Parts: sequence; structure tokens; C-alpha cells
Amino acid sequence: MTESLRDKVLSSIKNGKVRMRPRWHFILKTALAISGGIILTLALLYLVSFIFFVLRVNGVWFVPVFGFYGVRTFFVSLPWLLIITSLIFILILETLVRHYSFAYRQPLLYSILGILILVIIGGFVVAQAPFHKKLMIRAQENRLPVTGPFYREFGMHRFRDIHPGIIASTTDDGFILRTRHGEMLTIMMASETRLPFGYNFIEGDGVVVFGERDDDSVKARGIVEVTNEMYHTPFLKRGNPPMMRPSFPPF
Amino acid sequence: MDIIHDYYAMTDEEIAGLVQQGDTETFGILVERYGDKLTRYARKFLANREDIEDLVQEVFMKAYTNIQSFTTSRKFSPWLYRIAHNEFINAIKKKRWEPLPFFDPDTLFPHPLSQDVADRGLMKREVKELVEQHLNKLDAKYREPLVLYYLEGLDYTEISEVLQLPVSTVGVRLKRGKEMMKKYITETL
Repeated sequence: MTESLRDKVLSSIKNGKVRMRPRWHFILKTALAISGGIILTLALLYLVSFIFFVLRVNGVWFVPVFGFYGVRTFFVSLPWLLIITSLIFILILETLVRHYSFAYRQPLLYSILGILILVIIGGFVVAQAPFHKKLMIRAQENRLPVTGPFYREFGMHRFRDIHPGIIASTTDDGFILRTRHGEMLTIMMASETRLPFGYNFIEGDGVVVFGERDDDSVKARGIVEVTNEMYHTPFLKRGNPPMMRPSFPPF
Repeated sequence: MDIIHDYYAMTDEEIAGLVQQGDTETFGILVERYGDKLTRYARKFLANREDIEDLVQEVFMKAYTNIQSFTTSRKFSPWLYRIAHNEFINAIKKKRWEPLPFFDPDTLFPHPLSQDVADRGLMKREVKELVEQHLNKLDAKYREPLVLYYLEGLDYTEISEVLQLPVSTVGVRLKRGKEMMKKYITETL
């Protein structure tokens, strides 16, 4: 049996029915797989860092400090479309690396967790760099042709109960907030307004106000000061000169 | 100076290296060494198929076509068995004999790895006999690692390379396969 099998295989090779693929074919295939993996990883890093970035510029990142309602609003306001897209990318990357021994020798859970940790840490680090901020400013100035709408849609999203902006002026019971869309909102504070990091706001400070909007006023459930330069976009910089810092809270 | 090779004293990896360099005829030695083994593997894996000889021939042709992708510093047998595994899986899919799960929860979580030295010696010979007798009653999922371990003599790491599964999952499948066989044997007694 083995001899006849040997003869059949060798005759197929000799008559050219079976041809050996050249080494460069496999080198090219490996190079393409590695390039695909790198491109996919970079795309994932971009997407995850963009998620962190939009959460910060939209103020969603800060609302969990306002207790149960804050946590609920945080989950409702997450950019689920981007998160689901990222998860699909992770599954594709996992499928790609699963053919390599470093991945398949470990339980699936380990390699998925490895990819998740890598992209979350990497995405968080990239989100801290000025990369997205610069692109966002270009998008706002309509100087970003391809990804501009992407930045404007996700980065300038309006929420009913999360209002990031700059304090334009203070009032007896709160302040006037200039939002990133150039609107002026009257923020009303009360004794139950949560101030997790205290009250020490002055005109020009970046804040995130948590509370439901009613026309142009918001009864604040909570306020947190943020040092996010994105709230000081070129459009919003044209404001009044800053006032003196108040010596005591207005209630 | 002519180099005279004692082909039969050479390792599989050395022979594969010669084939890569263009010594086509030496591929025949690999066919001789693995022809019977792959035929037995196919018979156990695919049960009563008539086209086993054609499938095994196809495995060797694919091995020759892709021989340049083989790294000679690694072991040849798991590489060849991997090609055979893929070929046999494709054959099953074509005929739709057995359902093949897309996702296996056994591969998701880590499992404590039982040492394969536990089955050495007399116990391994006994289990081998049982495997040969009762193999057809098992799912392909458990049948294949049992065949590779008890009949083909591959170790856990080599089976993990053939099936592209975590080593711990190979251990789990072998353990469950043996337990299932024990159950069948007890029921028939």
C-alpha cells in the first residue's frame, strides 16, 4: 500500500500535477498576515482611544461620580456603536492570531483578555495625547475631509442631562454656562447639588454639569470641574474677560 | 565533492530540508514513513469511508506543495498531521457526516493540566486496546485526540499543534474521551 502510494505521489510530482510553492509565497503570506494584524491593531487603538476621547469631551466620563443616576446615565450615554465596532475588530484580530501557536496554546479567555487589556491601556494612553484634540479642532473648522463628520457626530454629541462647557459668568444661585455648541445655559444650584470635588469655580473654568435641561436652564444634580482644553475650542474662546473667583459658594 | 546521504538514517526534518532544496525523490521516504500511519489515522478519524487512500494521497500532495512553509527546526510529524487533520475535516464537511462545532467552550477557560506520564506503560497499552475497540462510539471531538495520543504516539504539545488547541484542552478531551469509553464498556457488560 505504502509503495503504491509513494509511486503515485512521486509520479504526480514528476509529471507536474503537483508543484511546490516557492518560499516567497509563504513569506509574502506571513508578511500580509502580520501587516493585517498591525493595521487591525492600529485601527483598534484609534477606535478605543477615540471612545475615551469622546467620553471626556462630551463629559460622559465624569458623570459616574454623581452616584446611582450618574452611573446609569454613563451607561446610557456610552457610544455603543463604536464599542460594538471595537468588539467586532477584537474578534477579527483574535481569529487572525488564533492560527499562531502563541495564541492557540493558551485558553481563548487569556488571548481575548490580553487583546482587551492591550487596547484599553493603549487606547487610554493615545487618548491623553493631543492627536484627537487636533483632529477635533480641524473637524470643527471643517478642515478635516474624511473623518471630519465622524468627529463632529461623536465629539459634539448633545445629551439631555450632561452639559460640558465653560463658566461664562456667575449668578446668585449658580452660573451661566457657555456650551461647546455656543449656547448659554443658566445653571441653578441647590443644596442637594452634588459637588464631589467642592465648589471653587470661577469664570473661565471648564465644568461638566449633570442635570436635566429645561429650555435654556438646568437644575444641577451635580457639577464637577474639569481641566479639559477641548472645552476651550477656538469658537468658545471668544468670551468675556474672567471675573474674580468668588470667596464663598452661592448657597 | 559529492555528498552521499544515508537517507534512512536521517530524521524527518533533515529529509524535509532536502526536499526544500529540490531533492524531490527523498519526499518518497517521508511517504513511506507516514503512509501507513496517516491511513490508520484516517480510518479511525473518518470511520468507514471508501476514499481514504485518495484522501491520504491528497495529504501528501498538499504537504509537498507547502513544504517550503515547514521550519526544519520544528518537528515534522505535527506539521504533517495538521495538514491531514484539515484535509479530513474538509472531507467530513463535504459529506456532512458529523456536525462540527464552530465554537468549543473547552477552549475558552483554562483547565488544570493532568500529566500525560500518568498513562505510560501498561495502563497506556490497555487503554490503547480499548480505544481501538470502542473508538467509533465517540464524537469526533474526543475521538481524534485519543487516536493521536494512543495510536499515533503524539504527546500533548504535538496534539495541541495538530488541533490548534490549548494543551490543557487536549488533556480535558483525552480525559473525557476515556471516561465516555469506560461508560460504554460498563453499559455493554
